Amino acid sequence: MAASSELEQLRDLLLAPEVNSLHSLQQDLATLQRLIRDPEQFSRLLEPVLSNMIRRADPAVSLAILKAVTPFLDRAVRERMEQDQAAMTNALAPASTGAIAIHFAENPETAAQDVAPLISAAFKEQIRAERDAVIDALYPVIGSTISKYLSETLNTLVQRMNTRIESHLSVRSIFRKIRARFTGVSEAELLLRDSLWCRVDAAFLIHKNSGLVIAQSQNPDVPPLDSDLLSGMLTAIRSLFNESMASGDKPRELDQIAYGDSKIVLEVAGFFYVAAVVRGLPTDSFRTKLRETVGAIVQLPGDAITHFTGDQSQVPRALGPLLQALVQGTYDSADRTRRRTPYGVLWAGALLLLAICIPLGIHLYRNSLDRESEVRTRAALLAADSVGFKEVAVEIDRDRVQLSGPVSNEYQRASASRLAGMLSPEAEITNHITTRSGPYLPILLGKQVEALGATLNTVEGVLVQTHYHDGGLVVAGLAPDSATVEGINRTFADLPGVRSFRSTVSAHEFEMVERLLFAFNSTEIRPVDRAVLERVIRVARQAPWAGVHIIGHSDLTGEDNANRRIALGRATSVRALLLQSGIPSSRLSIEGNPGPPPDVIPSGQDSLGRCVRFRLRSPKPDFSE
Amino acid sequence: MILAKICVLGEVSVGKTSLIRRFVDRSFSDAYLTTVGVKISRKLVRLEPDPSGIAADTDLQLVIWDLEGGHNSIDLSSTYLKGARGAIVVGDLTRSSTLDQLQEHIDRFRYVNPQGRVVIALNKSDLQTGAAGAIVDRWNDVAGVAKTICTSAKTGKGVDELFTALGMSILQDTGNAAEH
Repeated sequence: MAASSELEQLRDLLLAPEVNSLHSLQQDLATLQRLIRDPEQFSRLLEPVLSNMIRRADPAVSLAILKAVTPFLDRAVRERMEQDQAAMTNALAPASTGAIAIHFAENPETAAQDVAPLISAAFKEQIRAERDAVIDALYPVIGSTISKYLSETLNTLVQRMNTRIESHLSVRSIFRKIRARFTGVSEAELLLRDSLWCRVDAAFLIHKNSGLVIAQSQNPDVPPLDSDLLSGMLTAIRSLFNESMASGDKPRELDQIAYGDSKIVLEVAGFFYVAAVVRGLPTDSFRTKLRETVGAIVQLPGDAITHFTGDQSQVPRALGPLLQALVQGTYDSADRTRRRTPYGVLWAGALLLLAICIPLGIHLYRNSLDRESEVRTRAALLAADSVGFKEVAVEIDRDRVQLSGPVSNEYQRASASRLAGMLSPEAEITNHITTRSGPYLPILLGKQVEALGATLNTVEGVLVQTHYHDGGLVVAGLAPDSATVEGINRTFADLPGVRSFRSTVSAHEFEMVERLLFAFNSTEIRPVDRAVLERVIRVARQAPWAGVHIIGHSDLTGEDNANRRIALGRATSVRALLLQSGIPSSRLSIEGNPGPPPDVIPSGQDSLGRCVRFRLRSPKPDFSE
Repeated sequence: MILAKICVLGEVSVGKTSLIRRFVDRSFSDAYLTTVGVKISRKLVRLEPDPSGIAADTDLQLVIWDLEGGHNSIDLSSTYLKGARGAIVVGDLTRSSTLDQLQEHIDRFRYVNPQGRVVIALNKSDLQTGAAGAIVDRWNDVAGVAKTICTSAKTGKGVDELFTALGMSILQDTGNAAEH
C-alpha cells in the first residue's frame, strides 16, 4: 500500500506541470469550440484575417473567392434588384454606359444587328413625339442634299437654255413671243419647253428570259453599243430587281436606268421588252412613241418573237423599220407644240365661228320672214278696216301670231283673228286685242239698237230683227247682197257698249224666231198662238218683197206618210190664215216635213216637234236651198 | 448568225471565270476574284460541217452568263438560267467535293431548261496527277450530258473543245427542232 502511495506521490511530483498545462489546454479547447460554434463570434474572429488576405490580393485567394462566389452572383444581383431596384440601377448606370460603348466598339457587327430593328422604331417614335426637332436635326443633311441635286439639275437646264437662247435668238424667239402672247403661256415656260429634248441613241428588242437581242437599231452618229452584253446585263439587272426588290403585292417593273445625261428606258411586254438608250430628258412624245412601238410589235403575226430561238433571220422583217423609226424620231417637245398649236387654234376658231354664225344666220333669216309676215298681216287688216284696225299691232315669231291693241267691239276683235288666221293658216293665233267699252247707258243702247233696226228696215230689200240684252246683241235678217250684209253687221257691231255680237243676217233667207205649236194630230191654230201669227204677218208686211216659206212639222209617233200629211196640213192651214190677212199667194210657199225641225231633239210625242216655222226669202231668182 | 445564251455553273473557285477568260480573251490569271452575281461575255464561234447534224458552216454567237459559284444565290440564279440553251457545268479535278456537286448543278439547270444541253468540264487538269479517264467515263454515261471534257484554263487544254462541243450540241438541237 505504502509503495503505491509513494508511486502516486512520485507521479504527482514528476507530472504536476504537465497535468496543469493539460488542464489549461482543455479549457482553451472548450473556449475555442464555443467560439467556433457561435457564428457571430467566429466571423468576428475571421474578419481581420480575411480583410488582410483580400487587401494583400493574393492571386490564389482571389481565385478561390471568385470560384466560390461566381455561381451565386446572378442570383445575388437578381435578389438585390428585387429588394431595391432604384439603388441597383443607380449603382449600375455609370458602369453600363461604358460597358455598352465598349461592346459596340469591340463587336460592331453584332451590335449593329442588335440595334438595327430598334432604330426605325425609335425614329418613328421620335418623329411622333418631336417632329420639329427631328426636322431641325436632319435639315443640314437633307437640305444640302436636295439643294445640291437641284443646283446640279438647274445648272444643266440653264446651260441648255443658254444654248437655246444663243442659237435661236432670231426668228424663233420672235415666234415664241407671239406664241406667248396668243396662248397665254408665259415665254419662260415656252423657253423651258424648248429646252426639253431627247434623242434616242439606240433601241433594242430583247427576249425577256434569255436576254438575247431579237432586233436592234442604233443611231449611226454615236459610237455603237455592244448589244449582246448590254442586253444581257439589262436582263440580269431586271431579274435582280424583280426577284429581290419588287417582291410584294404590287408587281413593279424596272422602267428606267439613268447614267450621266442618258437613260435606258424600258417598256416591257409579255415575252420581250424594248430598251431605248435616250440622251436628254425623255419627253412625253417619246414615251408615247415607245409604247406605240411595243404595241405594234405585240401585234406582229407569228410566234418568232415569243419563242425566239436565237436565229435573228427568223424574226419578222417589220421589226427593223419599227425600231429604226423609234431611233430616228424627233422628240423635241417644242417642235411638237409648235406644229400643233396653229392648227388647233385655227380649227377651234373656225368651229367657234361656225357655231356662232349658223344659228345667227338662221335667226336673222327667220326674223326677216317674220317681219315680212307682220307687215303683210297688218296691211291686210288695214285693207279690211282702216279705221277699226288702226291701232292693232301684229307680232309674229315663227309660228306664233300675236295680235294686240284696242278695237271698238267683239266683232272687230274676232275679225282680226280670222283675218290673221287666213294669212297664216299654220300659225297659232294669240289674240290680246281689247275692246274699248266707252261709257254708255245700257237702256240707251237697247233703244239705239231698236231705232237702228227700224231705220234699216226702211231700206229696200233689208229686213232685220234685233235682240239686245245686257251688252249682248243678236241680229237676224235679210239683205239684198253680201256687201249690205257686211254693212249691217258693222253698223250694229260698232255700237259702243256692245260686248258680244252675233249676226245671222243673210243675202238669201233667214228663219224667223216665231213658231206656231199644234196639238196632237191637229192642224188647227191654237188661239194662244194668234199673237205670234200677228207678229209674223207684221214682219211679212214690212218686207213685201220677200217670199214667206212656211214649213210644217210633226212629232215622231205614227206612220211617216200620215206625219207628212199632217205636217203639210199644218203648213196649209197657216198659209190660209196668211192669205186671209192679205199677203198675196205669190209670196207664199209651203213644205211638209214629217218629224220635228232640226233644232228640236226628236223624242216621240214631243209637242215642240208639232210646229210650223217661217223663213223669209230673198226674191232672187238664183236662190236654191 | 445564231444567238445562244449559255450558262457556266459549278462550285466556288472551280475555275468558271477562268475558263471563260481563256476562251474569250485567251488569257489566264492566277489571281482569284469571286464573281458576284453574274458576269456576261460573248464570243462568236464558227462551227464547221458535221455529219451528225450541221449541214454548213454556221456562225454561233455565244452569250455566256458566268454565274456566281456555289449555292448562295440559288433563287436568283434560277432566274438567270432562264432562256439558256446550254450549260457548262464545271468541277475541280483536285477537289472531289466539287465533283460530287456536279449532278446538283445539272439538275438545277435542267429544272429551268428541260431541253437545255449540258457539257461537263473537269477543270484544273494541269494540277491533277492521276488518270482522269474513269471520272470522264462515269460522267459521259449520265443522262443528258452531251460530253465530258478535261480542261485546263491555265494551259488552255480542252477549253475550245468544250465550248465548241456545247455549240454543236445546241445547233443539232436547233436542226432537229427545225425538222420537226
